[in-house]
Amino acid sequence: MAKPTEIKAAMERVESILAERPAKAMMTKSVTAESINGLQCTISDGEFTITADMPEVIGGENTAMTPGNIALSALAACLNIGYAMVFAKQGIAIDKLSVEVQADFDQRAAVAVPGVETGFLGVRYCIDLESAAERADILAALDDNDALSPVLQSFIKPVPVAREVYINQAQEAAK
Amino acid sequence: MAKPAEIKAAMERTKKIFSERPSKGRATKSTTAEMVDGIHCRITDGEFTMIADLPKAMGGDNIGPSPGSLARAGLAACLTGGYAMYFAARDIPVDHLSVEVTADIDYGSFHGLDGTTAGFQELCYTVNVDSPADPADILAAIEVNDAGSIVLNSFTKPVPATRDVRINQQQQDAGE
Repeated sequence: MAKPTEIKAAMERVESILAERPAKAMMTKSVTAESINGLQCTISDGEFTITADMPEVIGGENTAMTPGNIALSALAACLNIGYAMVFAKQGIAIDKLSVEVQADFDQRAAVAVPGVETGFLGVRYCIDLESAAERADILAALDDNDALSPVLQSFIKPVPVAREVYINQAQEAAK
Repeated sequence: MAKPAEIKAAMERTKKIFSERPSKGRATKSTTAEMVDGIHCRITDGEFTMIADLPKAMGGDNIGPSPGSLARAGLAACLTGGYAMYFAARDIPVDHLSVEVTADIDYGSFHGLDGTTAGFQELCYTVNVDSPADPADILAAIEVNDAGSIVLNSFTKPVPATRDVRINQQQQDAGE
């Protein structure tokens, strides 16, 4: 278990490296989802693998989190981890920290009902923490994190997206 | 294992219900991340649980995928599951289906370094399909899915976000 002092030291070490060599900060990360059974798929980032599924009502088997909940999990985790790092960096001791993320959406978009707005219509995140620190210091640390949070900022600002499609590529390569 | 015919029937049934009763389509989902040790956290959506962490170089213990990896996983899974649904609905047989999602990110932004922008700079997804179907039919199904994909469109369009903070709420409750 990394202690706050170790987390702070790691952050300062990374910041020092990136300040000296900004090119080190530019990264491309990937994951691959592979359809396995019906609507179930495994998703791997090369090191960790998780499974996603859909509810039975839309043809899945409800064996794992839905893709939407994985995306919300990413946001909840990004905020939670980000707060833990900022609190460690700023010397704010925390006894308990949790972040609940809620999202409103219209499932009709997923089955192509016309005229329906798609995507999350709004997200709410509720931070619940226990700390003896000054409330103003805690709120300032939360603000600092939110302004820089990679997943939060990827939801609240539009991200350019590109697509490539390969049909029977593996078969053609084998010929 | 749900077969394509069952998936197609489920989609048609769901679309009929949503078309007749639009309010049934509106939903609110939630997940909660709770700090466990150091910076790693446990995420629960009520039924399922997983762990998120960061690499050791960033102060984590590297015992689970990073939040950024989970965000890409949510998108990859949404696209893969959606394509499987639309291929089934349109009787397009599929031998293999995978989606790779890559994201460009500047980690300097997380540390507030000058000249950096927070969030993914760009996302790219690569769809690999093996199928004897007409490629035009496959592409049409992909287009329909992408237009309605909930996670994809949550990245391509700005999502309004609101925050609520509770500090020492349990202690206050206990003291009341």
